[in-house]
Amino acid sequence: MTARLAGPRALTRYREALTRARDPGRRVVSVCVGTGCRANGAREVYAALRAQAEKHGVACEEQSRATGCLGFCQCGPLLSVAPEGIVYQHVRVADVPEIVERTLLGGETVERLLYVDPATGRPCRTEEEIPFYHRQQRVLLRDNALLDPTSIDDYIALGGYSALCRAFEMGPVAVLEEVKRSGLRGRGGAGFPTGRKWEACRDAAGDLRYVVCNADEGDPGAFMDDALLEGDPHSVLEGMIIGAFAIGAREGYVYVRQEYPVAVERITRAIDQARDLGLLGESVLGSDLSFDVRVSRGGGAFVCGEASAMMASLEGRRGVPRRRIIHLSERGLWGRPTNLNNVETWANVPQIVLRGADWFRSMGTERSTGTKIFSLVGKVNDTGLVEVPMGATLRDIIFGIGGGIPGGKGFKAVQTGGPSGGCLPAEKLDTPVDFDTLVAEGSMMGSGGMIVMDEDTCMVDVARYFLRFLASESCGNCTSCREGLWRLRDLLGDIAEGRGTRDTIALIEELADTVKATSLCALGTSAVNPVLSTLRHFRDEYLAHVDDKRCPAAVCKALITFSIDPDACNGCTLCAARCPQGAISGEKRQPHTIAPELCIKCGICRDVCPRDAVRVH
Amino acid sequence: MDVRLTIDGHEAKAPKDMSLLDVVRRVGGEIPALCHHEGIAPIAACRLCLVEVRRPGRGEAVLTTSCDYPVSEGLEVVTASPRIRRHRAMNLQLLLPYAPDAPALHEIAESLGVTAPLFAPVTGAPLPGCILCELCVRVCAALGYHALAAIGRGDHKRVGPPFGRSVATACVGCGACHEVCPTGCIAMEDTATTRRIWGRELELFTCRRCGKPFTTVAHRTVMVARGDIPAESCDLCETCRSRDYARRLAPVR
Ligand SMILES: Cc1cc2nc3c(=O)[nH]c(=O)nc-3n(C[C@H](O)[C@H](O)[C@H](O)COP(=O)(O)O)c2cc1C
Ligand code: SF4
Ligand code: SF4
Ligand code: FES
Ligand code: FES
Repeated sequence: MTARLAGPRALTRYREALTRARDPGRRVVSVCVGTGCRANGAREVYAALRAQAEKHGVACEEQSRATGCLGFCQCGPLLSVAPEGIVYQHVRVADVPEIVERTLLGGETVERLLYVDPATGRPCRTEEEIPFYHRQQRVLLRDNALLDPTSIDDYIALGGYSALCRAFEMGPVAVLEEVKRSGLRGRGGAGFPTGRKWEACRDAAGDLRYVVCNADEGDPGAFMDDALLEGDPHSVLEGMIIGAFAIGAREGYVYVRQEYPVAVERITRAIDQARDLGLLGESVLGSDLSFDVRVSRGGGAFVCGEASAMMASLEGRRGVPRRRIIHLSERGLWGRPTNLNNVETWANVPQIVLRGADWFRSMGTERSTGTKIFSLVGKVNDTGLVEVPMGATLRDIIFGIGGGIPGGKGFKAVQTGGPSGGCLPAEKLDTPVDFDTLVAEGSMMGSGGMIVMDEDTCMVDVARYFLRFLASESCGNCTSCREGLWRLRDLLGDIAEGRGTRDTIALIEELADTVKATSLCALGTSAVNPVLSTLRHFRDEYLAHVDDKRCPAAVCKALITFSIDPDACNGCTLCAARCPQGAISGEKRQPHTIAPELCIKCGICRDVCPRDAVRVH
Repeated sequence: MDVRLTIDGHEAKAPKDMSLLDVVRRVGGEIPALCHHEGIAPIAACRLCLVEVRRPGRGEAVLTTSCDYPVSEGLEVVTASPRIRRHRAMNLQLLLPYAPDAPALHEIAESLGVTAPLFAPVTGAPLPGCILCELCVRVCAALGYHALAAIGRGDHKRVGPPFGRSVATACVGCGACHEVCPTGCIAMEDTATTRRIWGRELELFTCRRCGKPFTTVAHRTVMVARGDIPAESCDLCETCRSRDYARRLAPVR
């Protein structure tokens, strides 16, 4: 255990000692072991790398690190080599010997492991050459590539905790003013101005205050917060310490979902390391600030991400939202003033303190400042985590960074804001992504989920899919939400299965109106977004389902039929052999036919037909 | 401290922070409510007690539930507008399929002009008739037994013994939940000597004076142990207990 640092100057000396010991030009190999890459065997790649390097007498302890998510999960496992900045994609254990021999020892590039820009066909050697990266502005995610998240020394060597020292110099009032002036708004969904929230908590009556970090991240498919906590936990922790200093809090909690065991482990370790160095505990860095943080694990209910439900859960009660007439800033955890911020909100704080509010305001738009991390998934070529300045358009993100829609298909819609976000059509692609514009368009920022859908997507089916999730994740308190959501889900089911009429649509709208107007928390009031936004932007598609009993995207099984185009079919018999129902008949080299009464619309025939002769209407 | 507010244009006075629903009811106003009890903290589950409120200097009137809304100075309250009635009616429609025969729901339906149900009755509910107001859970907790709980979430939510057990092991059979349930869906059956409730079969305790069974042995034991009323009173049914008190008061008179 290292001795506690007595003050800011001791921290500076500690950092200087670290940098002196480290050669800036040394070669470092980083393997991403973030969630995505891990699932593709990154840990095994890392182990193989260390074994190989050792075999060749390369001091690997010093020269290799396992990092958090680098964002380009689509191409993982990723391996990068500094100082050259070479990035290898889809690295397998079998590739490791070649990398060690040719790159580490020989100084060459292994061409076949480079990412190839599909637009130009050119291999990209470094991050800067990859379009996915060079159109981003990575402020929060930048350091993920540069540090081992289990090492506080890595963080400090990169300048970590100097924002805290700066905060001590400025004093709590100036820090809060700086955060206010930066225009930072909460990244957890509602976009509430962070400085104002801090101020309310600081000014609330009471002697014990809490700061809490919301790392519940319940949106399916979103992993921004996970990537920050796993990849750069100290940045979140430093933000919380600065917040506690500005607000006057003595205790903090990080509420992490149970399903993020690695994030739990990383933040827990980071807290222990910070405490050992005197960055937490009594008299932080020799100052008057006494502050400590505990980790609390959430059971994984989506609703526990809601502020009042989270407080209940932290207190050991059932995670159910309650009305807040008196704001949590005044009466939160155990009735005491509490300031809750999202992981990404906290991670922005050290940067603002260090680089100033003006720098922060220089990114983004007037009313939505700074950058935002999105998790870009669905029918888009390059999926992953992208960080862009607020106000970037949907087109910039989906086409510029994400590389557009795979397979030459057309773009149909994008859902922003997690399961209860709205779906925006192609006409809205030039919408700037900021808090207020998205809400005006019937969607929301949420915490940064972005799901891209192509022309093969049925919007009725999409709305039904999200309602299914929300109906089961409602805490079940309110009649409107608990009953309303499953009714909506079933009414959408009626439409998808051919039982819907125009009355069904009218009832959906009436019911959605009540759910939105009378539910207690934002889960209920926003849960109707997927239905209402698709009704608003894709009404024709709903009408095709109810009037013509037709699913234009050919998704809703009850409304489609499969047939074989006799002009295209050459009678290869492949489909007949594969149909699980034996529904296809025909002579060899003669056009085949499908018996509709036997067909279960599994689509296998369409997939196997070498001549694209199977039609769906 | 009292605050002044207006309810449908009439001025009223009430203690600050008192539940708006209670205040309206005290001045004779009517608001439908299925999950409220004056003595128990509100959870605002049924979403029927909707009203519109406007706080001084706060622009438009907002739609809100009244049971969990603390009154404040200058509040302007509207208890029935077309918007309020429309949303109350929809939420009632969502509950009706669970308890299509419950008089409490019919009464509200009538007051809202709801004549035809929008949805067919729900069959196969874990506790037929239950509308998930959680009054049973809350009254049981308020009495200190915690024998019941809300379990699960979303469309799987239900009430019953905690952890999904079939028997409420902490239940003493006092019958408070049965009493408070708005739809009367909690089964409580007394035979000559036992009471069945929440999967338990509890021995009945008979009044020492009149010999009538009036509660369970387990409940009486708790009453004695808590000492809120004199031990000897715990052995008497309510009628005999009142008589007993009256008799003891006699000399003073
Ligand atoms: C149903 C629901 C789920 C939520 N889930 C999260 C979450 O996973 N993470 C989060 O930071 N905020 C979540 N929020 C928002 C929080 O209630 C709260 O606004 C936020 O944590 C405040 O932090 P911020 O101001 O930094 O955004 C959720 C809200 C609702 C209504
Ligand atoms: S859709 Fe499935 S069942 Fe129908 S014809 Fe094709 S393979 Fe057979
Ligand atoms: S059993 Fe009765 S009191 Fe309990 S939640 Fe259901 S309706 Fe309410
Ligand atoms: S997990 Fe490796 S790039 Fe995202
Ligand atoms: S009485 Fe207010 S919500 Fe039920």
